[in-house]
Amino acid sequence: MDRDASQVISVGLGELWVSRDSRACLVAHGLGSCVGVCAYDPAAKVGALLHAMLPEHNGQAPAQSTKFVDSGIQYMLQELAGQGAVRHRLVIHLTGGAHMLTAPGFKNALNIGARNAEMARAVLQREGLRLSGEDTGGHWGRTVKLYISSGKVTVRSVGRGEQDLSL
Amino acid sequence: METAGALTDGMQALLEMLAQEGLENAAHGLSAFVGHEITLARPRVTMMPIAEVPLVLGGPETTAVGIYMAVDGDMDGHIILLLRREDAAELVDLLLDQPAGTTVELGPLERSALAEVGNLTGAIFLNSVASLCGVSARPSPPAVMEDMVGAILDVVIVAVGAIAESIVAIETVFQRSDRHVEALFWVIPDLDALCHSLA
Repeated sequence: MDRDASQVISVGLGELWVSRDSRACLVAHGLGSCVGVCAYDPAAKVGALLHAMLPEHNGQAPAQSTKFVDSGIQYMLQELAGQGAVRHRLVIHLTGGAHMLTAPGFKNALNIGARNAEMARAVLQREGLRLSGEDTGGHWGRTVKLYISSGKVTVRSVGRGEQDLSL
Repeated sequence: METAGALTDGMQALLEMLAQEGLENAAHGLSAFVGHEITLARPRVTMMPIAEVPLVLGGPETTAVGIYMAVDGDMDGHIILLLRREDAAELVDLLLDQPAGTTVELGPLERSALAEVGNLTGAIFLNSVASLCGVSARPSPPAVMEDMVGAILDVVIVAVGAIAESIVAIETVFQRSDRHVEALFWVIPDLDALCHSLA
């Protein structure tokens, strides 16, 4: 049991979770090249966590697909507004987007992680939203948590421990 | 890449045949390399939603070691050997003929030994497939990753997930009875490319 939250909600691959339950902690476990986008309105105490896999909508999935960074962020903003969040108050953190394949022979492989993070920054900028914190890139996985009671965002990595990104 | 619908009976049978032959040969090769008999559970062809892929081996945050190879040729796809961190250390001890518990950290030597296991297993499997079906399949050099299960499997998931909602994998478990080493061995073929090559 997490001492700061009694309800831990696992946000799986390609999922979005929006919550205004002060007992909840939204968690995206083991992000590699995937990104975790946390958005929180401290006044309305409503938050969301998007766990997106790929940068750009493929044109075939439903328009609001949360598998993709671009359509996922758009949908997340809509859902947050529907739960009473006000856009200019949103505190946004971006995590994940690692480049996991670093062995010889994979140097030129498409770096989906970097593209995911770039897309997230681009969409947020286009929406006039500012990133409050970021922990992206590198060659390691991350677990990100968003606490709905406080808006605290933590990131844990193997061998690197846990840091509070919202400080 | 992989189809999102159900497997046809014909494709299921073909993949099971490939799995049986290819993985038996791979297990023999690995046994010869290690110098001890390594057995494998009966391989199965499994189809799973992408969202469930990171839930293996204790879940996405479990620390694990993944040995990944991309496959190029008529049978495009991916091969990944995935072990819990402690099983990877045990496998290194077995490979280096050391008492269990000797390996604590995975340094360059240990990672090289694990890469060789992936390389050998993958290459023998692909050679068997090539000779059975007359298709070409070349593995990339192995990449060894020590990290969370979810992060490691993102490598496969992003490649498949762009165009499919599920993956088809040939799955087995390598085991040695007297020393516990359990490794998940997945071959994830591009079924469209494989069907096209065999047509």
